[in-house]
Amino acid sequence: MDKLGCTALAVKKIFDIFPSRFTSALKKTVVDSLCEIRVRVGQPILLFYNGKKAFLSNDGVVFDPKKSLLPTKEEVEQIVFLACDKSVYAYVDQLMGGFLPLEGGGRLGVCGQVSLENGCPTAMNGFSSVNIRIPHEVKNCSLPIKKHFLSPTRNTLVISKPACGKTTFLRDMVYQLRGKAVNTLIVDEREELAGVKDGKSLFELNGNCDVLTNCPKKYAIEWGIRSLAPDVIVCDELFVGDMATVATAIESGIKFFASVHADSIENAVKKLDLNYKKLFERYVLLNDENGVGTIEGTYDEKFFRLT
Amino acid sequence: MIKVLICVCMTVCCSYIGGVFCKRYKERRNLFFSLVSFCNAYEANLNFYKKKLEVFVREFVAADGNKNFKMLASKGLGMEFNVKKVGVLEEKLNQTLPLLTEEQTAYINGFFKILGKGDASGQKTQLKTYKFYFEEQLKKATDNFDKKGKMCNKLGLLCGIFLSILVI
Repeated sequence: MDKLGCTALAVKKIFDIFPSRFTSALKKTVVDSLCEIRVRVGQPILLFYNGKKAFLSNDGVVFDPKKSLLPTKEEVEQIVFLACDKSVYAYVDQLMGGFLPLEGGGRLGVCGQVSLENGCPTAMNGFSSVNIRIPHEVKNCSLPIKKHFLSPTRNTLVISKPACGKTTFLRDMVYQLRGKAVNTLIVDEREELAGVKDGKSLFELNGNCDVLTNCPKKYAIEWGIRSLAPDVIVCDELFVGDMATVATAIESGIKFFASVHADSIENAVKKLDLNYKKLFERYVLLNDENGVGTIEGTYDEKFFRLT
Repeated sequence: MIKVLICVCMTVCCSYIGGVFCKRYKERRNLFFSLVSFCNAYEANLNFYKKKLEVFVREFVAADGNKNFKMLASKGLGMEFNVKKVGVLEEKLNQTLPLLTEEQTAYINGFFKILGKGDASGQKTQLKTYKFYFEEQLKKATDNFDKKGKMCNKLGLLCGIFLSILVI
């Protein structure tokens, strides 16, 4: 699939779920460059594209929030309902995780009223805002540091703040394994890393990929090790609770490409409690200073800067 | 010779009219049967497959083949199926001899409105109420078909024969 493919598919899906007045306005914008759309009840619709922020009006993109379209509560609820393919029951677990997957590797973050039972969240309704992330395939974005995580393949952790291109970077690391006959297991918990549709990824991966979609890391890694014999496991957004499983996989001789939300290596180490074990051999720090996905630095297992 | 022809025509016409009345009862019974099967299949879907509503309904409609169910689902869920266009005669018949009562139509519309709008356990609870109603209606429709539907068929034929005798 070419660069436009996955993006175009995600945009098409957005056109399907948006109210017609938003769709016709959105068609007047640079839809292929859109990275994020934020729709909040009674507030201007915010667009992020090419590193800029703007608002959506009847005439397309505007920079004055007063001219923006203002979504109603019914419109936001309808967006969520249609994003569920009119089948809320099929997406309850994802909704409780605060998101809905969109075709083409996109993601719709949802916000609303959470119902609790004995202190545990059981349902979300009364949706008040959605945050739509549109995927972009950026080929060879990891090429500048390829030598640090390949030949030999090394356990690598990609670190950045949200929306700095971690998933895109991780996906490209998988792409860099092409032609090496490395069995790669992608744990696609949120259906955006591999963007599988009809059993096939919408992104160009390495030709040796197995994708476990919508499965918690704990189970996916265990099942993967037992039945899929991967050489490399790739997963997005690690949390401290995942580290025991990751450690087991690494100790089993499997290489790991993963990412974590943090603004520095120190915070990533603290967040994932990495100090007691040197699980990762390379750390890649990303930021958005010179555009999304800027490589701030690459570090080795002792946290010495390599680039 | 003409008399015989008239008699045959009258018998055929009366039988046809009887058949039309009978068909309404049969269609009503088949529709409620489809609705009950849909409820069962949907429950299975909620329990295990969790297929998306549109995919599930399309598969069900293709397997079930009931054109009235297809029409109602198309209207209730805003989905497009290849529904055969109704002819003028059939449309007039639908107006004068509606397949469903107002109450039944309201229930069915309400049923299609709740589909997909909730988690699996909520959907199952709502489904139970509707399934109970549809089963009741199916029982009534089956009884009516056995009693009135078949009687209409026979009455049509008898009426034709009776008129023929009168003509002779």
